[in-house]
Amino acid sequence: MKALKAFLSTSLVIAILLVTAACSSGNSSSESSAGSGVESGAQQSKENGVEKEVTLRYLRWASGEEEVNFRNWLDEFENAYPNIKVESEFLPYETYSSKVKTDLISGNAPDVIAFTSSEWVAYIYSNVFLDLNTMPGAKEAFGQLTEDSVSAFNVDGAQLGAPIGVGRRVPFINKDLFVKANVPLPSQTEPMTATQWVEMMRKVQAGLEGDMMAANLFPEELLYSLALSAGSPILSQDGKKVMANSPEGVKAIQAFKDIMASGAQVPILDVWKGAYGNPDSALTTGKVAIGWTGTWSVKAMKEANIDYMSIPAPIVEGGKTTQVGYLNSHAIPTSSSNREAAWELVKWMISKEGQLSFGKFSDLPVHKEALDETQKALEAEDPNAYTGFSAAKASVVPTPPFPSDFDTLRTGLQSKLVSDKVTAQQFAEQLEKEGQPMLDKYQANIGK
Amino acid sequence: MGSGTRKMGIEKREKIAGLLLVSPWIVGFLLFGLFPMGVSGYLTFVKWDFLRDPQWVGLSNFQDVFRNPIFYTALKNTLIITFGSSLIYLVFGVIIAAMLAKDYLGSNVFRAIIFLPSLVIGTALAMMMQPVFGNGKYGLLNQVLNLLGLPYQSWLTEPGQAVWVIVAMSFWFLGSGVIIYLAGIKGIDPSYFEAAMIDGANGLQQFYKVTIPLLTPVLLFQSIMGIIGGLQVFDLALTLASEFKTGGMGNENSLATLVFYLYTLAFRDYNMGSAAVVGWVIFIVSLLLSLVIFRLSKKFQLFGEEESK
Repeated sequence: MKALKAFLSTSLVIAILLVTAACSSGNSSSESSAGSGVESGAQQSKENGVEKEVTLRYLRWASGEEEVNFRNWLDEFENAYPNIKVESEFLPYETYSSKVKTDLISGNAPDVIAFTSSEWVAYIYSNVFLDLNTMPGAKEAFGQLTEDSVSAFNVDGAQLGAPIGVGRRVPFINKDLFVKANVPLPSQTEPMTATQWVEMMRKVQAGLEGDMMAANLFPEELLYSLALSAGSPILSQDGKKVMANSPEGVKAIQAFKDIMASGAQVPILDVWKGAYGNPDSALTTGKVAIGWTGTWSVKAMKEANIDYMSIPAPIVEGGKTTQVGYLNSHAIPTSSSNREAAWELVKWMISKEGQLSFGKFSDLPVHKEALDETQKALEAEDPNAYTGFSAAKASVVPTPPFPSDFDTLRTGLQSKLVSDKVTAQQFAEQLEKEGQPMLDKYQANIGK
Repeated sequence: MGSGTRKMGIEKREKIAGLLLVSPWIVGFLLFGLFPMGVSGYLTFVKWDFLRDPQWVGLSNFQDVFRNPIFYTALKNTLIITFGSSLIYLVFGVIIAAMLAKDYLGSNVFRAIIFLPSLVIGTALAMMMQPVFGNGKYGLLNQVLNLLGLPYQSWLTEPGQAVWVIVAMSFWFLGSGVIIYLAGIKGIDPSYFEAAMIDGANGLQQFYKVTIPLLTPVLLFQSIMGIIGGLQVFDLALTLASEFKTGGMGNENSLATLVFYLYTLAFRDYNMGSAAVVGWVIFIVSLLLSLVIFRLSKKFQLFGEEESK
């Protein structure tokens, strides 16, 4: 009996050890097979001098119609390069950054990854991006793009990203609701001051029925835009310093408060939910007269039979016309085993041909010639949608990078400002006092 | 001599057999308990984001965490949730269990009704409660307030208010505690109640003179479990915060809890060092609170038969 007990105990221990060993050997065998797969993939492109088919993996945020458009764009590339196939993966924006991080950490990242400028910054000292200047034809390719966009992704001489386009938002209005409210349509080229804007919003609100709202504006962009117009942006362009605490900055913050607390704007904490949609979709609800969105919403507005019109963002008294933009890019991870083919894809994306095609469904191109042609074509095709953008086309300022905690702090202060819990001066002081350490810490974490 | 040697051999074999039988637990504890704790302890002293090699930074992570106002917001919220929900489980759980202890027509049905809601997981509950407490003035609760002519409340967006919504949700999980208290009450020797009745005690007097004292072991256990559960609140906060901007812990971090903060540090900011510090804070706070309860319980705890000895 005792011998049996000892035998059973020993068997149990041996079983545990075997299972543990099997798990670790299983992992290493899968790694080694992946490793050999990686090596054969790299050789696959050329064998015996013949171009063999290469399959690239591409990752980007997109959903719905946008996803279809991007896939079609990649199909155009495949038609131009028959030996390169592109397997695309599109994710909702909310989950995108987590997926990218996980892929980069695992060393199994796609061959070409799309980034916003602010998210790209988090990786620049982590040695995960290929220096595109080392790829053939890079100088000529980047030489055809706008200098600001190229330099935005250059780190100490290494080109760690290829800019692809600039996304922008401006106010859009529902012309029918303005007519209904008996309010003259605003100019598409001349921006209004904040005071004029408040007056317009209140007149529209007074003329609307039921629970309709005059506006569902994008609070963060409105604040940033007003601050830029005042010559005192909220953050420095590199995202390292809070700059709002200045007389011009306080002026912009007060203008923001006047607009958001006008009584004609969706409550600030309800901007992104509820019956009024969000700033991108507000007009399509039919309940909001002024939204804040980009060219990506034009199709939805057409389908909702909204008679829309874009107008310039408001500015502070005596301020200059500017526009907030999102500079997006593509990067090739150093872990990619198909660098040459990945570079062919990226190079095509920033070529005039690729950019002209891109500009038809997405952001404004960064290729100089394509940008010029695209702007003219869009304005001619749909002046209601695109004229409002052109008012500030020469002064688009990309949003700087900042950590999530800073965003939470700013959002909270915006809410307090609108509900009169802090003044504009206090807003600026608190943003600087509490936000600057957050920026410093963020820069230290992502730094060299 | 021979029998003594044999006896020692048998004892030795039994010891070896005993060790072998507990070895799975030991291996598990070492692999999944002690080793991760050791790694976590190491992480508190390094800067690591998975992509680059860990870099020794000494006490820098501790400074970052303890100087960050968000940590104190998370700590305050967590303590409010912990004590608030523990009090709800304790007070209402015992009262309801005492009411359900008597057998009457339909008592089993009532017990089932009380218990069933506690089977719902936290995430599902929070998703159900979002339209009630969230959506600004269009939330269900605010619509009711509007009907009653009362001003609407920012249940989830007002800092200091959102955490009480989570405390209120504790009522949903009352049932599991009630069942345990019920089992404890059923385990009390009926002779105590008979003796009390003979002495002229009414129902209420029996409750706090007999039931409560003899239920103290169960109360102690439930208190510790409630505190550990409260300190680990995460799913409710995360789901309720999802109606705000991505990655945030609510307006002005109104829904921040210690575990939620750990999660954002680790998997949003990829700041493993600071996340490990918060993890150790949770462990130490849990340990301290449990020790405090143990010390206090020695004054109040009764074990019926032991006391009578």
